[in-house]
Amino acid sequence: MYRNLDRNGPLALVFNALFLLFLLAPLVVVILVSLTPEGYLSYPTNGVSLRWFRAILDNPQFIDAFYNSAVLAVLSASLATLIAVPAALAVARYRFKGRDALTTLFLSPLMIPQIVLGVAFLRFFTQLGVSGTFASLVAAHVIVVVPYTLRLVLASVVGLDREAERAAISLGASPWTSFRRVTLPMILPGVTGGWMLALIMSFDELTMTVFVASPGNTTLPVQMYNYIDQSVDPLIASVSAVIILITIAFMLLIDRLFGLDKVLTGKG
Amino acid sequence: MAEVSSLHKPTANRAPRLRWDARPWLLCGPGAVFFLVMLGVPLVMTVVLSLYGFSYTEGLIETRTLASYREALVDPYFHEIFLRTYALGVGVTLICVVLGAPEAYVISKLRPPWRTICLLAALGPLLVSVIVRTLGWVLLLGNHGLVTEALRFVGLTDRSLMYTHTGMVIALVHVFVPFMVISVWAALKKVDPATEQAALSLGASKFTMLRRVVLPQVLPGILSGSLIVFALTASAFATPAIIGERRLKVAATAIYDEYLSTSNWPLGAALAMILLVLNALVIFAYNRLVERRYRKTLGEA
Amino acid sequence: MSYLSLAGLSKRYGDFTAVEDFTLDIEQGEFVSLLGPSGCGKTTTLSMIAGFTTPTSGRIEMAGTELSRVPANKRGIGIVFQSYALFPHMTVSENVRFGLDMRRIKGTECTQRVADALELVRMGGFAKRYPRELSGGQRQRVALARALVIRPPLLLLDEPLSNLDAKLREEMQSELRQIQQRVGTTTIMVTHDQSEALSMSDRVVVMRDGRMVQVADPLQTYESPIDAFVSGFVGKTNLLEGRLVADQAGRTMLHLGELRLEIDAASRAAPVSVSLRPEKLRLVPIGQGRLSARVVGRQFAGAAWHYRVETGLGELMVNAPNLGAPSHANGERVDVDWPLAAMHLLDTEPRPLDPANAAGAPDHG
Ligand SMILES: Nc1ncnc2c1ncn2[C@@H]1O[C@H](COP(=O)(O)OP(=O)(O)OP(=O)(O)O)[C@@H](O)[C@H]1O
Ligand SMILES: [Mg+2]
Repeated sequence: MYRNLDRNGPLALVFNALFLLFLLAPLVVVILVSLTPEGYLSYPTNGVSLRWFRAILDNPQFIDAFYNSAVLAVLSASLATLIAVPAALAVARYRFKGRDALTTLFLSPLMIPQIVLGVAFLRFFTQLGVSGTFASLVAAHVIVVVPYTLRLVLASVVGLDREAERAAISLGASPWTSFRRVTLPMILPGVTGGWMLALIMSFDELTMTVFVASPGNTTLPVQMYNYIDQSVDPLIASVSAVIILITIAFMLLIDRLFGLDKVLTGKG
Repeated sequence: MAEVSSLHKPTANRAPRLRWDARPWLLCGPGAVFFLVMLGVPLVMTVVLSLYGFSYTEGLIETRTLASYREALVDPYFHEIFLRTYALGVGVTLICVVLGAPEAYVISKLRPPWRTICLLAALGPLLVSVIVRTLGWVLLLGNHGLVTEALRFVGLTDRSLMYTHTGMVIALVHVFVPFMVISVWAALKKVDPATEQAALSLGASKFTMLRRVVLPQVLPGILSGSLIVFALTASAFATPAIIGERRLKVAATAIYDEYLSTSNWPLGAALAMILLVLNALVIFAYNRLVERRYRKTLGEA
Repeated sequence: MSYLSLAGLSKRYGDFTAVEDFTLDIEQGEFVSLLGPSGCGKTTTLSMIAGFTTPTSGRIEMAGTELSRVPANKRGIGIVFQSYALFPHMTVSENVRFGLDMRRIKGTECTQRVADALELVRMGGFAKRYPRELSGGQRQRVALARALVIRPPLLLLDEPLSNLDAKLREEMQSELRQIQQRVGTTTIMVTHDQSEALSMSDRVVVMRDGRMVQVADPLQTYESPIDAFVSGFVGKTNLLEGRLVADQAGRTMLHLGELRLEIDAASRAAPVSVSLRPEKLRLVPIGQGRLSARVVGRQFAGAAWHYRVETGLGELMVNAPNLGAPSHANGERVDVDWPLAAMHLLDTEPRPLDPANAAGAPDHG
């Protein structure tokens, strides 16, 4: 009610500016370097050029990896949603033995260092003889992103007004119809938010994927990591700049639709 | 997890006490089986792998031996690596608290358009690939990077911060501090701004108000943010790998190298298991400590 | 020289005006209530006095000191917040102690004052509890104790009793009034409960859309509301449309439908509204009253019967004390009677009353 008094002093505003400078500087620098007309790492002091963006097109390994990452992200986010929505309904709606254990199981990938997951998946897939396949990448990514989706869906299911569902049933709807026409629309924001967060998490995943990707089936972060391991040149900066721009667009979309802070705290 | 269990609302169609209800299991059974198989089997396989022998001439030896664990736990080379890993974890966490918590508070006090803009700017980097952000630091800290040039200009140092602990800390703080901001932000949203005014109306100074009224209320957020930052830093891979490279190895990069350079898989697996157990221990102990202290005063109401 | 003087206090948010030209002088030890519909600017007014909202314009003086440069934590004002604003991480007694800590009051005096304050609000047994372990009304009482314990010269209460049950609320009302009279604390209280405002205050300020509509003592507020809005907001009333007509004999006649009543008013030929409180109307046998009527609805309210009767002037509310006698049945024909003095004339046109007051159109009744 009395929000009005809440002003920041000059010191706080300076702190805020420095903090944001610290957070944004690396991203800005990447974009600046990607615009250089020179053939080496430098700032575009002699005019800007898009030559390094054109150069991406001549490097099919990045295009292929981008395509792979995109398909992988969409597939694993969608599968994760298919697992998370029923799981959230079960956990929030029913009290049954093993309910807490189940929740822990579904959220546990958050607790396990991703490098450990990578090592474990590598062994698993090698023993099964499926290592390096696209399907194995999808399976591994689903495990990593389910917790993010689950937290958001869970929050929206728990906040749900059950009376509305009962009203539908009292009006003659079958349980399935009432789910489809009443429940689903109400939890849809949480589900979509969870899907989008999973999409980003999968698209950005490096540590675990480094172990399970193969030269034939690689992702953009892995490709970039391997590239940086060899050399840093303006090409990698322009690839990064593209990613930054795509991410900003995506972030604004999420913020518009759900509020970024809500999605990130898992309160859909 | 406490959060999840307290979420349950009593429902009318809850199963009678004695009858077993199949519905929740039908709903989450397939996913649960997938998770059990995809998590359980690989982890067990990794434990088994870590018990294999290894020699540079023959590769894997299918015996059962604790040799890899012995090596990982006795060799001072690995001591240094684990020490570095957890020292980084503690240092980065502390810096994130000092920077992230005040930032969240300052943002919460900004006027409407700025509040959203600054929040987006502070949280948005979380969504940008870690690789990209680390690349930014490579460009800033490299031999001709802006930061390096600036430091040279001021005369502080003429060496670049690449491959130094300082450089790693800077980049890791950058990567993880948004987690602290979001965590404290979430706690701040639950704080009734009128409590701050109540404190002032009772004669508290601004500083006393922050210390005795705001800080205790957001402490749970700071504590959970610290846990996230610590766990992520201790298992971070991309940033240490790129900024610290092979000269300043941490647990994750050491594991990576055992696997993909040396091909000593059992040792890599043993290191991974040690990292997993240590992290789990820290998380467990920390939760215990925090819960005992805070369940009473600030339980989820 | 009044103790608290508010002069032309205004608060604008962008082009929205939350409070406009609030001017009031309050004497030391006076108890003033702010009454008005939700969103009319009561909390904003208190907040400006407390120092949490900077007025867009206007002056606040307390004990002769201009307050605009005095920060909130140096004003020493006791406040009960609408949301209570208890510190969730402190126990009840820690909450109450806080203000004493700030004043460096320690030891037995501190303990004693905390205990006394808690006893006063009947919360002595809850000292060790945390706010979330209390009910809404209990929290409200802790908030009250926390504000009272510092013995502030000025007390701002934002709906301090809204969450209490009727009995406890009455106890707290008289308790507050006693403290206030014993210690002489100047008090401003916001309330939605008009009977609370009437029973506790020395003066009542009725607000609407950020403006003061009427400032008067409780009796005057109730008996002589300045316009239809006030009469409708402070208690229930029947509003009748009529006209004042001066007849040949120089008398002022009030035309109400068929009724012609001679009244004692400055002669003016103008349309007027007449406010008639339901408890001042009586149902009498046919032929003995001013208006014939038919009972169309009735409600039992313990101490009284609330009737709705159909008359030539429209439907009227009539409250009759429950004297144990048989009540009137639905459909029964009766007459309605009232003393002439019970009628209160209101202007139908909005008129500027005094600098501070400009009432809106009387759309409320
Ligand atoms: N910070 C703000 N920004 C914009 N408008 C505000 C702000 N604070 C209050 N208002 C508006 O000012 C008006 C007065 O608010 P105030 O809180 O004073 O009402 P109130 O009389 O206390 O109402 P209630 O009885 O419901 O508590 C309201 O219309 C409110 O929407
Ligand atoms: Mg209010």
